Amino acid sequence: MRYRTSLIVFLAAFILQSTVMNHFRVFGMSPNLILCLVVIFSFLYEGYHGYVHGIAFGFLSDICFAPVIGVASVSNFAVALICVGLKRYLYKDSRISILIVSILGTVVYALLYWSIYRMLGFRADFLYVMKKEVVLLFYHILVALILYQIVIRDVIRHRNDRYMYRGNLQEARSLNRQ
Amino acid sequence: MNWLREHKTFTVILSVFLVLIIVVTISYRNIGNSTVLGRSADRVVSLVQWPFSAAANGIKSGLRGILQFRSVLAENEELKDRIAELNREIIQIRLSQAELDELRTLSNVLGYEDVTPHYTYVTADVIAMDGSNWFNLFTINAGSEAGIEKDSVVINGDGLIGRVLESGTGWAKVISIIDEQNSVSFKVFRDLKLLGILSGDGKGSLKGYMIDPEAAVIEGDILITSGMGMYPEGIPIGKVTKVEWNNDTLLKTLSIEPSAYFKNLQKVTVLVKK
Repeated sequence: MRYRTSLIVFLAAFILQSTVMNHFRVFGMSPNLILCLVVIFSFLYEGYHGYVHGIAFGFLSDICFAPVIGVASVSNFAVALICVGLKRYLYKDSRISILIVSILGTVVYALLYWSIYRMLGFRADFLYVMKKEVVLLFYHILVALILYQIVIRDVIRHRNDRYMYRGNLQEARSLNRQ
Repeated sequence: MNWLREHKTFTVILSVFLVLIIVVTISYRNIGNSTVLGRSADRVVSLVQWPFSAAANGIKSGLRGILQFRSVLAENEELKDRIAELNREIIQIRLSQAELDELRTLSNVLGYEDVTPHYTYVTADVIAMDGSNWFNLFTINAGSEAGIEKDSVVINGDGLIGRVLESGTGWAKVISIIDEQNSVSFKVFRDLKLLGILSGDGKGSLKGYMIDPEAAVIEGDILITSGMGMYPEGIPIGKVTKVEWNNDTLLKTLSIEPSAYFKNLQKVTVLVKK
């Protein structure tokens, strides 16, 4: 995927997240679409989409909606790193994989975000935050699965081809070299 | 250096993390003071968000009207009764106002200096809310051009919302009282002599304590701003839900339910000092 295309997708998600998604709150929670996209783009696509846009849109979110700038960028970057790392161990062509990746992404993001703000002296009760995260976890899984269904055709062109290698592209290249 | 060259990926990751941590540190030391770049980004984003927000609010209101027709009718009847009641109150207030004007004229004649600040009211639409669910921060579509500046007080029909964290042309970022790091001074509406201090409890609500440990505050008491500090007197803050005696601090501590619901704000009023 081109960076231009992914930029438009992230931009649309950012606008929707802060405006329209506020009307789709469940128990007062709306999904973090940027985080969902960081997970999807880092895990499914090659390149640096997840890192670059995760950091950039983390900054933008913080500029608009947070007292301190950069916390969302750090958290998004960490999530992107984990998702890229998980590519080695999980198949892309499986909904279970996206389930695991989105759960890990949400938990890591929440823990990092909470820890940084706590270190900066902001009051945020850990149990209260984690209770909210349980709702968010289900919401993120749902959004990630919907996004997965949309982008998977672009990621794996011929899903029914049994002889096609479905793992990490870099790994496949190294296997070919051997 | 050789080690860094051999471990390029690790070096890049570490460098990015370091840069981000430096940004966080600098930003933390300058909360509420964005750079020109940050202000421009806020301005552009608020311009883009405004039509989306207006469309979403319009669709939501329209659908509510259609789907909840009966409850809207009932609410309409209820509001008509409330208007009649408020009209009666307005007449009483006008009479008191006339009396107050007379007293003010008298005070001017006697040469007393008026120290109470005067405010103008700016009504604004909420155009964007924090999508990350962590803070109740939101952006409104009015800013420095309307006289809104840092620390301007924000209210709505239910009571105190918070204060302006930062403002620019056409936008202002508002932080709610439940996310507030600073404390708010309050008094009990039932007995205005009872004073206390409250702040966010980190659980989406408020907690506070009474200055006088003997203060007879009870569950259900309405709290209003005391006028000390940046918030003007008489704005409803919330309702006391729990009163406890704290043996460690020897203070009467309170749990408070805010009067405003922060997740569904559409319109707010900003108090701008004249």
